[in-house]
Amino acid sequence: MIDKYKQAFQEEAREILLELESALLELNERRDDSELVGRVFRALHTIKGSGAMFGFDALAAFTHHIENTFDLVRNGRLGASPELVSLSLAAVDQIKAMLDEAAGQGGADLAVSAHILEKVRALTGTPEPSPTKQPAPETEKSAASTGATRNWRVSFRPGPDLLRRGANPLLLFRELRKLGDLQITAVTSAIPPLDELDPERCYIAWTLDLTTSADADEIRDVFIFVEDSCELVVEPVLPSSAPDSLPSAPAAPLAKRSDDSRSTEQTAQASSIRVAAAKLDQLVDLVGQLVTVQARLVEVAARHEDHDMQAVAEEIEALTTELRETSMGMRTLPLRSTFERFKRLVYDLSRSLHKEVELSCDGGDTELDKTVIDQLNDPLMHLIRNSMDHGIEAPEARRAAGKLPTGTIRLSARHAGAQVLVCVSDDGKGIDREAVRARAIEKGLVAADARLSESELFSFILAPGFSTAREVSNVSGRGVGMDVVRRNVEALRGSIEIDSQPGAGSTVTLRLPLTLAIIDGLLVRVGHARFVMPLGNTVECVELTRQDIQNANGKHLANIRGEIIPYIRLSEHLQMDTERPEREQIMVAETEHGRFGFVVDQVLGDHQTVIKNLGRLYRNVQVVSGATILGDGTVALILDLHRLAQSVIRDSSAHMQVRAPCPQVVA
Amino acid sequence: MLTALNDGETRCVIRLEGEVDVASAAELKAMLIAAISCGKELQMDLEHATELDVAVAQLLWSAAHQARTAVTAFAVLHVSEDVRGTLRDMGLGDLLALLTPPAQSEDSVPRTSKERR
Repeated sequence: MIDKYKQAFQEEAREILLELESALLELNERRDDSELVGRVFRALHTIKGSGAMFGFDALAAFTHHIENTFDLVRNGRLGASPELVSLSLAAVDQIKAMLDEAAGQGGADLAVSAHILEKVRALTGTPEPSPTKQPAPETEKSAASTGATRNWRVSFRPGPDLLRRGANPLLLFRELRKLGDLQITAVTSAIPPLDELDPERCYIAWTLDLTTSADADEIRDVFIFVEDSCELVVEPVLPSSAPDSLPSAPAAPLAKRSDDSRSTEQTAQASSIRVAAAKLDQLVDLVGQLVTVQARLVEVAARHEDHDMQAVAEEIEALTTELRETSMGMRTLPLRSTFERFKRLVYDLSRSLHKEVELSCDGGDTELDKTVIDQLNDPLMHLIRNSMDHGIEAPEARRAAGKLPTGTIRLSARHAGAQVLVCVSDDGKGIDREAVRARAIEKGLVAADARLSESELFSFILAPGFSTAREVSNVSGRGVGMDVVRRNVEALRGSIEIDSQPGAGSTVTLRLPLTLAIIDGLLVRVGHARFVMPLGNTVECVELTRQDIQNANGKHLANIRGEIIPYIRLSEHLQMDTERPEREQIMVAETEHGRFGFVVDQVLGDHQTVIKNLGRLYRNVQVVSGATILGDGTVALILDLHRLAQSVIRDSSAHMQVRAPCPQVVA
Repeated sequence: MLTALNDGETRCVIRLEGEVDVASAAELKAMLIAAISCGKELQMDLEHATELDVAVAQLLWSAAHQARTAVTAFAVLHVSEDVRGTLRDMGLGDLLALLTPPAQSEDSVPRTSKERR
């Protein structure tokens, strides 16, 4: 049980470290921002306090020193210099290593801790603490003693699970004692007779009388890791001899306000729980199976023409849809935290490459299935490394080119139908087309006299082992990174677009599906085969008559309320041997190449589509993104409308008016 | 570590050693119930205990009260300084008083709760 909570601490600590890293990087840009200093201090304080509580003593002791340093910053006795930020980021890495070590993944080098602390001491001018003593409570006492002391009464009533969670109230009291003089009174009246006593439940409550200059929030910070599993009241104690004088009157409302805000926070915290990602994956898998069975039920009910059964099947369908949306929503996350992680990468690379680069993020609220996000980290990392190494110029070169010395990398995301576009842009020198061409010829990928479009030329960048870098650096140049991007995006059934302007920069756009699990689809029939079109892409369905075809003089163009839409007849494009019906239907859809029509024999209706991977054997079938099992047990292929449109553009010499926003490369 | 020793016909000694915490609380509870229910004089030996946590402290508290109710002799032998400090830090000075009568010195022969009555 306690191991479970130790693991929970590790997970939470890693989340807090991300927040800490983010706050430190922001602090590097806004060094006078006291709120940021407070965020850093609080994160360190929480990691230290909870680490100590769960027996991560080395981690707690190490963090304590960094926390003390930020206490000095908080009190205006030390500046938030770049050196301090750099050391603190190194400390974050070391705390991560300590957590990894505790989780049995690698080891933390204690010499690194010592080295960091030595540099911190040199920066703060504090002497080395005695190794036998508890880590430097002096700083906290001195910090606490800077203001006037007050008396506080803390009522601490642990929840029943406090001990099971591995928390030890004794450690809290020792922490509290560092703030000032502490009198501890245990309330033992709730301890039951021995045979009724649950040995892992906490029955004792405490009244803690504290004399300190710390404020209510600082006192509460001591209990930060247990505050969701205890009742905590922090109240100032008015001197008994003093009348109800005006100066002391505001104190109570102040503490009350704080309590109220905490109470709201606690309510908010209590309304969410931590669930293992594997459990969510299992839930989505089960919902997928349920959707398939439900489709069978609908099929069977229709076949038997049993109205009662059909009514039940419809009800189950509605419930399954709701369950599917709810469970998928639980696995959906905003991209913000993924984006934020790259700030550190840009910070580190800027220093090692001696370049000045800022990372700006847009669209962090864009949500995506966690399974897609998990596979997005590596491609984004490689794209940013490439931009930093090859795209953004050194400050002198930028000045010479009439640019600001600080380059910008922009990470952005936005929804586009059933897909998400994630872009990595930079304002660097752009892709050297001639270098790419020369390297492609050199590697025998293309003939020397070949005429290549821009998109064809840029597609070589994604080839394995392709690099135009003259030297291999620690950052890039081996021609591996973009291959990783291509393979990961391919695995996600996504596509990559590259756009570049000489001297102005490059943009790589990753077009990704919202989810790899279940989508809303539209079931259509072509001949005897059935296909699913992703509903998110479709716009409308119109009839295509023989007259319409004649009016277009045999060209694959439809006039829909005055708008000329190119269309693809699926039976022809997929080379199916079917008879053309008298009346066909066009499903109009938005693709990355503009609006396209897809001609089918019949639209059968909505379909909750559980996506099944086609496997490696079919990975080169570009126009199909997967398959799904229908209610009657047959398989329907899921069409990739973007790639269908793309293949027509490539294959056909027809003069279609295609609104292509930029050169396209399909991975 | 917990050890229960049946010291002859009339006495049962439970010895706590090192750090004793919530992980051993269920075992300690079973020992205490068994010892109290058999009607023998119960002695707790805390000489080699270095730290107790809240789970253990509340068990001792409950056991001391139950022993009184059950008219079972209950005594604590040699409370180590570490344990005294820990209990004080928990605000459980009363427990110390309950376990070790104030008139009694550390090394004197412990009196049982029966004798106190």
